[in-house]
Amino acid sequence: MDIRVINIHNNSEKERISQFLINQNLKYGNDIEYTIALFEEKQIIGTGSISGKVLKCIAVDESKQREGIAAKIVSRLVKKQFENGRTKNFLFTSPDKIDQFTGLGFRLLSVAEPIYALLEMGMDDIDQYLHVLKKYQKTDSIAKIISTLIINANPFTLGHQFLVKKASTESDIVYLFVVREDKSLFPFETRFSLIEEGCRSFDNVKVIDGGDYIISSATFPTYFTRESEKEIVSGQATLDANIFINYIAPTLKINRRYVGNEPYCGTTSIYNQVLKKVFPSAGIEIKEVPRFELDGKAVSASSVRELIKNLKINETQKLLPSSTYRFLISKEANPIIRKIIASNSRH
Amino acid sequence: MKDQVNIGQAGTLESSDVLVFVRFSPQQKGIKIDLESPSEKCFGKMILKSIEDVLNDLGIWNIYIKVHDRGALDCTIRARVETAVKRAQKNKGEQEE
Amino acid sequence: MKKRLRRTALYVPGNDPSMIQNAGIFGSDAIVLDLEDAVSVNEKDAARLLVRNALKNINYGNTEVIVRINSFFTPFGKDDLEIIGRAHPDGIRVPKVETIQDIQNIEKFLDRIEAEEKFEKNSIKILPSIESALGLFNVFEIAKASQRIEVINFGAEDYTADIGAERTKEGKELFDIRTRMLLAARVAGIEVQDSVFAHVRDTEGLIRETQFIKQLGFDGKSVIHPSQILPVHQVFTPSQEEIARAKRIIFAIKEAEKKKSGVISLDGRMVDAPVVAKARRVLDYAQAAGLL
Repeated sequence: MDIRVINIHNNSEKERISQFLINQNLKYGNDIEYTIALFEEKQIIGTGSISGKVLKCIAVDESKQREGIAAKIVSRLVKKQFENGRTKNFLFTSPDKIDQFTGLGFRLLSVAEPIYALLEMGMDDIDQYLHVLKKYQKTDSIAKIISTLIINANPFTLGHQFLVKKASTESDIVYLFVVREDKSLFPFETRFSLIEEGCRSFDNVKVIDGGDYIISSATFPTYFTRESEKEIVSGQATLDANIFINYIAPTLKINRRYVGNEPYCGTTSIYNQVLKKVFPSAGIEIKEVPRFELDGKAVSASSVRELIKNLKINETQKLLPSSTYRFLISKEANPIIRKIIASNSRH
Repeated sequence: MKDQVNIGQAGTLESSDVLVFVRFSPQQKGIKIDLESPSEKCFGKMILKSIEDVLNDLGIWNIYIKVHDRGALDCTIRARVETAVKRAQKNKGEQEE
Repeated sequence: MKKRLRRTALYVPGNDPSMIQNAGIFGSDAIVLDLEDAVSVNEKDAARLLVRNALKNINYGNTEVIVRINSFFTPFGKDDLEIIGRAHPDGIRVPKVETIQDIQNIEKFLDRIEAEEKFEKNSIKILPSIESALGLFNVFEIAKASQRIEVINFGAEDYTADIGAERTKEGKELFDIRTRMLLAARVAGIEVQDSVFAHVRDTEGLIRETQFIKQLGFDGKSVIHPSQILPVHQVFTPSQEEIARAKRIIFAIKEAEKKKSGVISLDGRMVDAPVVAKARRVLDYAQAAGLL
């Protein structure tokens, strides 16, 4: 019995793994960066893969369902992750395998029947994150309407600011979470500080780092690859929503969430549908707000990026708060602008 | 850039072993131990004491340790903690060179 | 003649807590906690501490506890010996021994550690392993190089690779090393063990090989899986006839001693020292097998 690293650039090796996974109803994704397989007499009896912070596609031959094999595979993956500086791992699996992994020490975070379950293990787990969140709470509790907003803001536009203003005027407190994952053309630190500046005039808005638990590739992988069927998207959106409902909202006593109505993005509108289905029964009101329009067109970050790509930066001024525009025309923005011009990404 | 020079890891999730992560950081004051163990109720205190003993013997006063126990013997837990700490210290040393 | 039997020595991967803690229950005469081939390079540090702690805390009963350290020519060997030595294993199996100097290096280390830790002198044995042509060439000297050496063995894979032979299941290519190891051991008055039979599922093959080496005169065999222990012990278990004959020889000795007669004979044959030693040995094996 030996463990081997699979060459993920070799199609025939990848095919062998795919075949093995198909027998267990698993798909070998395009986002996978590292795969190992356990061989016995040249046959694959188990496999596991890594994609960013997530362990997935872990499967063991049914006739050899001794716990030992899954433990070996996961241990090896954890070790590899550690070599890359990761001390925490998420694990993506199907609900019927939850016990197998909680038995190994993983903690169940969220389930979206019938397809998905999300677990985690390692340092800086969700308890740590919630502990940090608690510090944002105001100690006086006369606040009645405690709202939340989750934005990526790539970059922060007047459209975003409009949404924040609406939340701010209609609520006692607004917790604004910024999506952490750096798969956007504007890096996290930049997005965060542009949001902070753009929200300075709203004194009941707290801008918070969303960390690993709010629309990240762990909790909502499809958000970034944008190439999935509706079921997969809504399943993963349910995972994300459940984490919010079960952990984040109770910690901050959130009872309302604002979302922007998204006409251009299929994934986001499916996501919003899931929210509207799941949040109200958990005591959180959903308020869907129509996009801020200028000259009959919704003001969106993607339209701003499109203008930048076409070197029409001055035309973005009317779509942006002055703080964002000031940044765009400053020297610091140059590397980002160059990236946007060169990229083909929709993000 | 991820700062990976002051973390250490040892052990596995296989039966009778423990998986240990340790981290030295300037913000960490005191010893913080997170233990995940199926026998937490019966042996939790004992395991924590063993870990603290190892840290005392190594002269460590500020550290964050996360331990996932898979039913390991006391001597195994101690060996893995010592290994993880020494690996973290070695990484730190290499960075300072 | 040493009382300790060495019919089987079970290799145990040094980085596997589950195997290490259970190693004593499988019934082998000895266990070899392996820090060398069974442990990957980036886990050598972890295995060393695991084995050290096991030595200090786990009760292995009457099983002989050996640790196979890494060769002194690797970055790991000295650290292994320093740390493991102080945990007082019964013996250290030294891989790739080629010259007397290799033994003397280890001996100096052990002398110092025993003195510093106040262990009984020479209480930690050295078990040299011959794994190359040069090692085999020097085996007669190596076998006598230290009082700490009570048994020698060899590594078939590395040896055959070194001499350029083809490794086969039948093991014909090992004929020379086996006979030479045997000769060297007997001249030095120590024991010799055969190397592992790697085909774990082939019990018949294991038994055939063990019968062959027992017939040659070997005292035991290394094994890599608990399932190999019983078959090897069975091969080393004397038959009823052998036991009966051995008993008669011992009886004849006692009778001769009573009569203060110098010469002993049995069934018309002279019974001299080697025959007596062998008879005692047969009874030791019989006792270990629970037949007495």
